Amino acid sequence: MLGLAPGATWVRWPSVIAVAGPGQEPRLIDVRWYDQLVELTNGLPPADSREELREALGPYAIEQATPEVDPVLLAAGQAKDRDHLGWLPDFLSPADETLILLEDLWARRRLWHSRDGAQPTLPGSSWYRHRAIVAGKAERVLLVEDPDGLSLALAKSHHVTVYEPEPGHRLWLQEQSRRLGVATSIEWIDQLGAARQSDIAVLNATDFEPTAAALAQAIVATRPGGHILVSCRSPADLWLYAMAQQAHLDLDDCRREVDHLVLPTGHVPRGAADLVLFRRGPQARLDPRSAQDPRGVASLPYLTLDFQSLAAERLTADDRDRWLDWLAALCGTEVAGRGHHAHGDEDMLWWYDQTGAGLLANVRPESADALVLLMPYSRRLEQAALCATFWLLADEHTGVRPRRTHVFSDQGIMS
Amino acid sequence: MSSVYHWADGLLLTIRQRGPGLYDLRSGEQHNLDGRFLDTYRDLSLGRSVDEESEAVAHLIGHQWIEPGPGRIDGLWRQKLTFVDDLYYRSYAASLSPREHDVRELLVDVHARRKRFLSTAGQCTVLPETALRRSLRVGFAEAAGKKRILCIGDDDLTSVALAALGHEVCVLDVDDYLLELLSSFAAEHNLAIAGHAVDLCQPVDRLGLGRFDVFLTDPSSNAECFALFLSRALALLAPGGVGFVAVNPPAKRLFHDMTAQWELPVHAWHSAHNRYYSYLGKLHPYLSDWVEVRPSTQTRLGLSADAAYTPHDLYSDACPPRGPLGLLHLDQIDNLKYAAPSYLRTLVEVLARQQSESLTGLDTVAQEQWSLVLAWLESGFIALHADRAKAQLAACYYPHEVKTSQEAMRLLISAHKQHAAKANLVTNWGDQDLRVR
Repeated sequence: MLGLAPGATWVRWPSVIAVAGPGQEPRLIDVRWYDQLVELTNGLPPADSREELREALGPYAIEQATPEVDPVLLAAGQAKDRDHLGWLPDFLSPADETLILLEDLWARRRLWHSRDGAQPTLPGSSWYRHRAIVAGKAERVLLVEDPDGLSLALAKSHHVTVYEPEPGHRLWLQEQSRRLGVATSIEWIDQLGAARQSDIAVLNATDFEPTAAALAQAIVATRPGGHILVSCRSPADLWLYAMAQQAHLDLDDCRREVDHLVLPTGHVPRGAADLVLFRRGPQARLDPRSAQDPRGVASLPYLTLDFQSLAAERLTADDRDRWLDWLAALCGTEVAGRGHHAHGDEDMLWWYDQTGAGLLANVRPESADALVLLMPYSRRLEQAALCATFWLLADEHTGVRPRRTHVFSDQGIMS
Repeated sequence: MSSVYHWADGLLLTIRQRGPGLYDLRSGEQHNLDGRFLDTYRDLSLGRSVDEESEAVAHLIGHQWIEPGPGRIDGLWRQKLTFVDDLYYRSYAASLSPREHDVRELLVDVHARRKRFLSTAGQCTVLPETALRRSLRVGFAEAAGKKRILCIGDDDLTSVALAALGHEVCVLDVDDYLLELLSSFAAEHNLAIAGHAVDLCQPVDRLGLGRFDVFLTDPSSNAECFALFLSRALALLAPGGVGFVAVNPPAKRLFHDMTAQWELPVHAWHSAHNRYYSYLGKLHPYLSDWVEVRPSTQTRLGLSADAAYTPHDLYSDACPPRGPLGLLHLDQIDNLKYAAPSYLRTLVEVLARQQSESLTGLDTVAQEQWSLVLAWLESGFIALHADRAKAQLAACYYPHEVKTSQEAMRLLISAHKQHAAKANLVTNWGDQDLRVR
């Protein structure tokens, strides 16, 4: 029986799979192994090419079935929850069965997909969203994407409609819903327009245009008097409140910095998203084509990632070259140019693909930090840069300078 | 003639390196004050008696910056503080008991009584809700047992919450204004807080070693300040005691290395636990983790309790943020032919010359629809990315300095954008981002 080593997870990128786990160097394997890896992750022995797959997986292959609940992942997930949600006085006190379920799901999840829309969050953050939804006394819930499996926890007590665009992840969610005996409480839809009326819709503010489209459809799919809960991360705060105002949504509440994104690497980049709750009044509507951005900052032409406290011993010239190799592999696009320019103690790396997406990185081995500028901004490249950095150049002390929201309602709140 | 005066509502005094200043919450204006009268300003911050005929007081009365009467809660400041505090407090308020809500109200009151900030001593204050959460980690005296608690520095006023939970609190601080504020507030509310003006650089053995059950401290995150504050705190902590330390996330490795060297076990680490505000009545971008340490019998101190210490740079940040970026985005640029690599190269050469910089390297990527030019300078770089399909040009210059950035922007705009419908400027952590449509 071939299985996946404890603590190991794998991530599907457009044209490559990244496998990583504690104490081992991460590795890239060919995307053709996708189906066999799904079987192996589900505890089923791959039908053929067993030896080739073992070779591709290297140290991540073990001679026993992949455990359903991985104790290494479970312990890591619980520790991250305590670390990042522990500032809430009532977190973990007393132990909550929803949190236990969500952390159990986390430990069952070996396969991740890189995605452009809503990003996964910690189990503790899903627990927080669950609590906010339950407190609103909703019966029917619409989830516009479900990267975490929140639908599975909600389906114990609610009727849930889910629009989940990532097919591989959706299959996993459906499988888990059957295991948990909640499959009949979840309706899967292929288009947001097909959603039935709910008491609350939950969505993520990503880029301006897709958010406007999702919000418009969420309004249609939410009954008057119901709510729309939006996870809002900087810089979406600069335009979300204005968009909601145009849609005649009333701001009900905001829970600041509770939605902790987690990377497919398992790392939690610092800086959590806000949960903003809007009431959907009878006049609410939004034409996404006419949504305005009064501050003129809806487009995101560039973005910086400021990595702090990188692993100094992993910042050699070879490591930095490998980092550029991984960017290319994870993005899956043709490289237009790359290079580096050494200047004193600093090294400038740059990488651009044929589509014009790319980045510059100012790496300072002496102080073990790196400033990465994505110019122009690309969501896929942001994911690739974060993951490649945490996989290859980081250790447990590494962080990214938080991207914190600066606006609440119509007010600037940061000095 | 002496009379009791206090600062008018909405006015906050800050003691900065460049001298005292008065920030007006109502207008957003800052007024520089005469640095000769710091004692008078301190008395006004406490609502004490001052000489009406003195030059300093007459000047302040003339501007209506002070009002007769004793110190009190500043209503406007309280309103602003409640607004920023609520941004986090709302996230968990529903789970709190009425008594915990009362403690939070008390904290907002004492924060709104505070009228002076000592930037020169590294003061950066946590929100009242953070002080409440810090105190709840210790717990109510009825449940956790009455503790003798040491606050090594308390510009966060957490001692008020701890005392309100039923504990006996000792505050060591160099800020005499803060100690007097705490003393009078504690007396009014019957709170067990004892303040001592103590310079931690002096030996602390006379304070009674090993007499506290818990300590809390929020030092500047550098090796020197960690070592000094923790050495003093640990020396005064009883065996089996617990400590809480604020750590700036980029200094996590530094703190980890120090605790490992001292054999000081870290019991729990809470990321982004501590949120701060500024005297501008807004959130401060700084945040810190809250680390629980539990010394063992093996724990060693970096500095002996009976030794004096000569400080070098106690209040600087060990991991200062890097230099800011200048960013420019031009939409619907004119004359796309000038967005070709050859022209862009000329442009960056002019930019470099303008900034009296010599080029140390130049890289170019030329594609059909877009071009990239990277100019490496002695001090940083200039990057230009032109997307001819979208008629957009993005530029980045690092590091950003106001004068040179303005010149660079002017040049790029004059070259590529003769007419603009709208321009927006966003600043974030010193980065300057100008977008022109």
